[in-house]
Amino acid sequence: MRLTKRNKEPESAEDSARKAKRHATIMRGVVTPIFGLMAVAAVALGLLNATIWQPSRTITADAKVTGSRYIVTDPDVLGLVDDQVTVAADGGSGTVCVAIASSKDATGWLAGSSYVRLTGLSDWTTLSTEKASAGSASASDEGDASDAVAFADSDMWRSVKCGDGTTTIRTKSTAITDVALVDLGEGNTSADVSFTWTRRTLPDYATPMYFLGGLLAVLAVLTATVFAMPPHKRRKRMVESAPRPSEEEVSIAEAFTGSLNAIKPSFAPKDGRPRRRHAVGSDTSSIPVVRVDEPVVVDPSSRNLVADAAQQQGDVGTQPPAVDQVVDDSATSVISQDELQAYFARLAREASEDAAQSNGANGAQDEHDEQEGGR
Amino acid sequence: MTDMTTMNARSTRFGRLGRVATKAVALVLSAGMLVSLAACEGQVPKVASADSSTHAPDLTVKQEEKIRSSILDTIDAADQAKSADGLSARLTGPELEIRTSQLAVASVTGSLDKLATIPRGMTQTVIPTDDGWPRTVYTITTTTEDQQSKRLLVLTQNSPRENYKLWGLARLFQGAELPKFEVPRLGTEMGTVNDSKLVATPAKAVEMYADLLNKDASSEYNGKFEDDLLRQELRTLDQTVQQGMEANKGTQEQTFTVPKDQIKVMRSTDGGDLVVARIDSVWTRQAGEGRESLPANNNEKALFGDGKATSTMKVTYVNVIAMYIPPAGSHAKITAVGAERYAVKVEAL
Repeated sequence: MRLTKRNKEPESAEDSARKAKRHATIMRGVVTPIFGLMAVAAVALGLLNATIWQPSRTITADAKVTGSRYIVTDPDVLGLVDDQVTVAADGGSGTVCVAIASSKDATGWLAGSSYVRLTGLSDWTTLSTEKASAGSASASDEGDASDAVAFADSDMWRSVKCGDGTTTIRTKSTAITDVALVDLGEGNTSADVSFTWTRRTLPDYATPMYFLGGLLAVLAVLTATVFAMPPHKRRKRMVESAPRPSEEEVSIAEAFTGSLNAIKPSFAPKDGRPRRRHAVGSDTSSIPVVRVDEPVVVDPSSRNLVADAAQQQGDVGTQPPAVDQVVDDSATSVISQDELQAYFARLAREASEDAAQSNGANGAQDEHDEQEGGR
Repeated sequence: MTDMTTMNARSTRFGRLGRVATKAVALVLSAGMLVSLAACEGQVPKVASADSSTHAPDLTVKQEEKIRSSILDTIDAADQAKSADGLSARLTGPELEIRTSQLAVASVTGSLDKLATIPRGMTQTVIPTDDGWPRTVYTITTTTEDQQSKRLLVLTQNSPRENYKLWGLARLFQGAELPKFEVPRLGTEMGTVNDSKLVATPAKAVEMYADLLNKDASSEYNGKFEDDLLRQELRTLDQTVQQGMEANKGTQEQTFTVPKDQIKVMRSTDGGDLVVARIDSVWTRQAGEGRESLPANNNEKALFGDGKATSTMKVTYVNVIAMYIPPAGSHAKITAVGAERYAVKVEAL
């Protein structure tokens, strides 16, 4: 699978370059302008929201109410938009009173009478209404008719205002349970009730728009630059790079010969002790130094295995198999001395044959080669 | 191998399609956001459903002050006119009777009883949280200018269409310790006459106290009550009158009875109840040896007026008792913390 992919890549290099170019064109020619336009639009909308479309500071909502002497708001309607609210009731004629009371007091007062509920805002300029009727007052609640007080004189109201035909009352920071109760007077059953809230804090739509505009502008810049690049250019590591040429070309034959020359004198056992190649005093002066380097860590992903494979195919028959065993690790080596000697003998023979056949034209290097260079 | 390649190609195609789709969605979304954000006033606010279980106090402190001022204005107006006309608009229950009597005495003597003074200042108010009616508010005034003790005012509202009225007034005893109540901002729960979890229900405690007033130390409930100023005063008065009566072989008897439904209860934070109740009393004095029975004090005299004295005099008193009933399980005794007592009717039989 992996091999398949890698095999295809050299063929599509031109193709991918064309693709990258097309990608860049689309990014810079289409996506960037879209983001740019949207950024401009967002900022423009923000400006509009901050100026001519700015939400109005006062909200006025009203309702035409008919069929009932009393009009009462639901709890929390008073503070629906803001704490400060002006309630105006226009009953046309007679004494019209508006009181701010707790909902339980209003309910107590309304016991036994029908009334209209103001249930909230149906839109920004209209109050929603609902007809309601309180259950008949119990005998104890009725009290003596002589003791009953006029609406305006009741102790229960937080505040009350009365007027001839029309009245307004201003209130601020009411509790959630507080309601406005309108008494249109005896026999009067139609009125126009309006609520005017003064907003202390306006909803701010401009700032989010500016923010959005900024984001879109950043996106536009990004699409024109980073996102338009071909992917491999954006990344630090080169994924599709060609095989790295080594600094010095040394043929395998040369390398082998060099090694051989160094080894040859010690081939004949002198004292029967195991030979220590790297022991102090061993003769290494004749070894040609190919590369003095730290041990090389081989990253298989950075190697062009395809090229290696091709090379291997070209050299078939001439390459020694199982070269991995020559790794310099005498300390942990499991190869016996005899095996090593036999191996080197065969190597020398092959190398001399090789040199006789054709000197040069074989610059291929493989893992084995690199390891040899480390010696 | 071929399969792999096609799969690869397909996945890349899908990948590209996916990317295009993502971009399209992002575009549409951002465009939508732009439009929605451009809406003018924002969302129409919705009404939050108020929690019906919230026990808000029935009145604010400001409202209580306004009500109390209105009541005291009414009383002042009546005091000025030395007439009880119009008092019923803001007075009710035992206090209406007592004040009417005090005004009647004042109209005879020319000046109002010093004990009838009600200071305008307030030191504490106990506001109920109850939803229904009647509602009761306790207010404790400051001391008077001549250093009389504080007054406990009991205001009631019988129905929503009525206003608060001064129902009762008890002059607190010197050094009396009142229970603690919730602050007015939170409100206090009203008690009922049948409150259990007390050393005695409020109704029963008032009955017991009346029995105690009738029999004093010989009452079976003597051990349940602390001694108090009212009982001490009544004991002294009784002994003084008794001595006088015995001198002329007369008799005297004072009977205390508890009228129905003349009781207000408020729950304190320690679990006890502060109860204010009316107790009526009739004082019958019969002179012996053919002598006339005369009024016992200036108030009675003023109320009796120019009436023809006979051997028997019957004086009706209205008493208002404030008492603290500790919670059940406590070792405290029921304690009277304040009282008011005034003659309302003096007749010669």
